[in-house]
Amino acid sequence: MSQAVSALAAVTAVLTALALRRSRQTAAQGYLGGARALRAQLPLLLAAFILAGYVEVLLPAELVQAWLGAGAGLRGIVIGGLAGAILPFGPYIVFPMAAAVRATGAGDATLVAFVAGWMLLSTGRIAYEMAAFGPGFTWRRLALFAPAALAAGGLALLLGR
Amino acid sequence: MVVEGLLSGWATLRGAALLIILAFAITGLMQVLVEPATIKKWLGRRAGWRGVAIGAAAGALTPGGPYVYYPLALAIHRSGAGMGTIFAYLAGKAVWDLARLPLEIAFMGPGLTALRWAATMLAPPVLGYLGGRWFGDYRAPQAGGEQP
Repeated sequence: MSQAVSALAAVTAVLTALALRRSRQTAAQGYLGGARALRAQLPLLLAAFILAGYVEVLLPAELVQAWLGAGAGLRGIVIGGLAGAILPFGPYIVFPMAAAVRATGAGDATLVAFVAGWMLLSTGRIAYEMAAFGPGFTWRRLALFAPAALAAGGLALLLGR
Repeated sequence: MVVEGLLSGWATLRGAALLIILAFAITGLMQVLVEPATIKKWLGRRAGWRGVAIGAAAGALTPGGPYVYYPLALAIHRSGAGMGTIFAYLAGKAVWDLARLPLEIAFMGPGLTALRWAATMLAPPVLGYLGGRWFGDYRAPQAGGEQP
């Protein structure tokens, strides 16, 4: 975790330097925008971490290992992909949840399918998409992206061997 | 059990608090550095393989949630970019999002993040190409709702 903090701090420093090169105001606007987004997401974040805590404590490890563990194969990929697809949340909520499921014994391919399913199919963006492009576009995109989410899990299964 | 779940969640949140604050700062800074107008200028009227490649890269660089990138995708579409470019942009945003990468490494670990990237690496160009071929004639309705 401390390595991740150092890496993020380095990225933040580089981006701050780039923003400062434009103007002090640009950098200040960036930090202000980030702070506003954090404030808006805070209640959801707290709820997500509590939920992730319960996932870790309440999910029976044997059940997770049997259904989603390294030996779950295609079944794990399909369940993982579907679970990711129905989540309407942002990354601050989905990644802690994935980490909690991982801690209970889910396999790597299942987790890749879960994350890819969320990234490619998440229900959270559908309202914005339909408003912008119309429902016809959403059906086409889902038909195109859904096999890619499953393929990602399959590829992870092959690559992880 | 109730207390145990709360404590477990609290411990994860405390450990991740600094990461989350930094990740929000990165998103905020990227939002002021990569302006929607710049992305729109890159992508307007792009089509074919070039459109797919640049669309996917622009998706990777666009920070923020769907309230940011869907209006942007629509503006790009309206300024004449091909459907392949739009699908590549959305797929690039989905799996190549650079602003989200630090958070993914922090929670999933570098090994699993690398595996996820490898497994989805080709998705933006492939989905952009197929989307352009199969759904190239789709046009967004003028004011939302079903396609006319």
